[in-house]
Amino acid sequence: MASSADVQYVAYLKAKFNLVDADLLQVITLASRPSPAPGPRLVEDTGSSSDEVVETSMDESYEEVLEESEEGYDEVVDEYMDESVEEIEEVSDEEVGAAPAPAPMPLQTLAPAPAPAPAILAASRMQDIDDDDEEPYDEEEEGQIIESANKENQVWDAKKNNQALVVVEDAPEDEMDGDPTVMMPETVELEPKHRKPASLSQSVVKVEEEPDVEDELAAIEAATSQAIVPATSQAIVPAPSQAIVPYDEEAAEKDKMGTEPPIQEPQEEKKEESNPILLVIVAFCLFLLIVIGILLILIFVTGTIPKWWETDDQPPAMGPYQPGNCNFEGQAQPNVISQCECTDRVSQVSDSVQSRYEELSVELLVPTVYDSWTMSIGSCEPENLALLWLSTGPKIEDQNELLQRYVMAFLYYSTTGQEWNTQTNWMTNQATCTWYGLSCTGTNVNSVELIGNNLNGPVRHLSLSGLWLPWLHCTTYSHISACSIVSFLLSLAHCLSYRQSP
Amino acid sequence: MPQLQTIALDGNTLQESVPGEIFQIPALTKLSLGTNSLVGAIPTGVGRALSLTSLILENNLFVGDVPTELNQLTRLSMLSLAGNKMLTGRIATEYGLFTSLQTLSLSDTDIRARIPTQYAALTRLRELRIANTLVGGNIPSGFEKLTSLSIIDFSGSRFRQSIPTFMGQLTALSKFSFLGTLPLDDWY
Repeated sequence: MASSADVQYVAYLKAKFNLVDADLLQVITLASRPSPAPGPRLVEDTGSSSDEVVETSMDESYEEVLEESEEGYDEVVDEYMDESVEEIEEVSDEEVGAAPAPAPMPLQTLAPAPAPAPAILAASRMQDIDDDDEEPYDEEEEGQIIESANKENQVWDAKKNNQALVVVEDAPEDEMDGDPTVMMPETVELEPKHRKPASLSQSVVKVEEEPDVEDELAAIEAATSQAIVPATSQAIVPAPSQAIVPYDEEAAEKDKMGTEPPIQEPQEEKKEESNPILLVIVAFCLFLLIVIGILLILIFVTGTIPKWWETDDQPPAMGPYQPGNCNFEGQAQPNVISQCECTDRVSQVSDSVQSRYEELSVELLVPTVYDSWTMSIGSCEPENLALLWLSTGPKIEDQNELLQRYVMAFLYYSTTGQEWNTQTNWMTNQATCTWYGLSCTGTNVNSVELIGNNLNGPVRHLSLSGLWLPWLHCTTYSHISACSIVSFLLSLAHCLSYRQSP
Repeated sequence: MPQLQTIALDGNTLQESVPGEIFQIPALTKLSLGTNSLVGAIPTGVGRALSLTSLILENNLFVGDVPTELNQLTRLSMLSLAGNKMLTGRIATEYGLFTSLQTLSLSDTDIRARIPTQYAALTRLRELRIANTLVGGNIPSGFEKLTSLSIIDFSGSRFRQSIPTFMGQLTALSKFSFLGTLPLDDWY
């Protein structure tokens, strides 16, 4: 029931603003316009017949407004409401000192909601015009709803960092399926800390119609439509954005999963992802260990350090000796004796042979055999021809075999080997121990017997500039790549014993 | 080639002088360069080839005195300097210390002097060739102890003494060349 003061106040307003009852009813209707957006609304049926009358009246007014202005609906309504509210506020402030100062009404509460929220507990506290005329208030039910909402808000706050979502879990199905136009007679007001941002789809758009404005509207409604406004104050249905929809846990969960970044699952995923990375690292380490082990075994077995980084540019084999033939076309590396016979010098040396030649001259012959190597690569001296031949063909890692081949090649070239009576396996890739006239102990040549084999040349070359020196034994094994540290020390001791002997 | 023991290049046309370094091969036991065209003196470095058991430099063109360093090769079992007509010097008494010596060939050289009595200690000697040399004098006593001797060639040398009767005790002797007076009385 509206009080007499309220009736008087409404009458005053009508007189001041030249308002008719239809205007006031239109204002009330606009304020309570239902949401055009789809989606069920949670409506609590109070069963009051007076409510139905009010709702019917409000729906009719609403339809009329829609018919009048379809295009500028929002603008018209907002402007109209703003003006009305402002005027009411001005009047309230200036002339009605006893009345509570109306707080500014949020416009969004009257504007259409951008989209329906999946689960909304919209609790608009509708200030009754007259608390005495209010329907019996179910405090217990309200308390349950508030408690449930607060609980959900707390859970939600904990998860979402105060992002708004208030869920009414125990909303009855029959209420959710009710007529969307049915007014919600009771409202629930949540604590401000539970209010959620309206921008979030999951957020609760909490309509908190200011009690002062509501009072004004209710007073107007009560004063101007006595026939339809019962004594009971009816809560205005909240704006569409405030519509209460049943809470769908699964949908909410899906929505959360789809829109919100996961909070706890990423940590588990990180844990699950860290395991494969760890496994990969461990596997890689094991692979490295295996490779290193294989390398060590190879070095131990072969006594040499594999040099994979070196390009496998194998020099060509030396061409055959053809007396009187000075046409070297098609030969990658013409025979050096042939070249010397034709041009008195070695003029054609392939790049790979020259590279190997330079390498061997430094690493093999100096200082083991010679103090220095100053000979030209084009020289026809047997020392040079032997080194040129040694620089052709497959690379030989065994330093001892290299030296033996060089010595024998030197003997060959210094004694006109191309004219020997027997040259079986000489100057071939075969091991020196298979060459005619040579005998070996193991892989070491211990005998050179070329009796009556037409060796022709200066015997001085047999000296090989110290090839026979005792320290040759030392220097042969002094190559780190050719022996282990142990064998190197043993050979060093052996050398010292040689040098100390008279 | 630290294990090289044998160098045998006989019967070729090797020329020039033998380098002294060749005797520095530590394990060299046999050096045979006979019948080539080697010239020059025998290197003094030969004395360093202490492992040599066979040194054959025959039939070359060596000149000069036989190096005294050769006396150090006490392990020699065969020494042949024959055929070097310009090789001079005295026959070394030190060879008598080569207890392993089996063959001593100094034929066709200009080596002179007498056969040392120390040679009587060469009990393993099987061949003694001192033909066409300047070696002379008498065959020293004690040769009867060289029971292993099978060949003695003194032909062309300057032995003026008659053949000693104790040579008859050399039961293994199969060839004996000697230019001189046969002591017929003593042999019967």
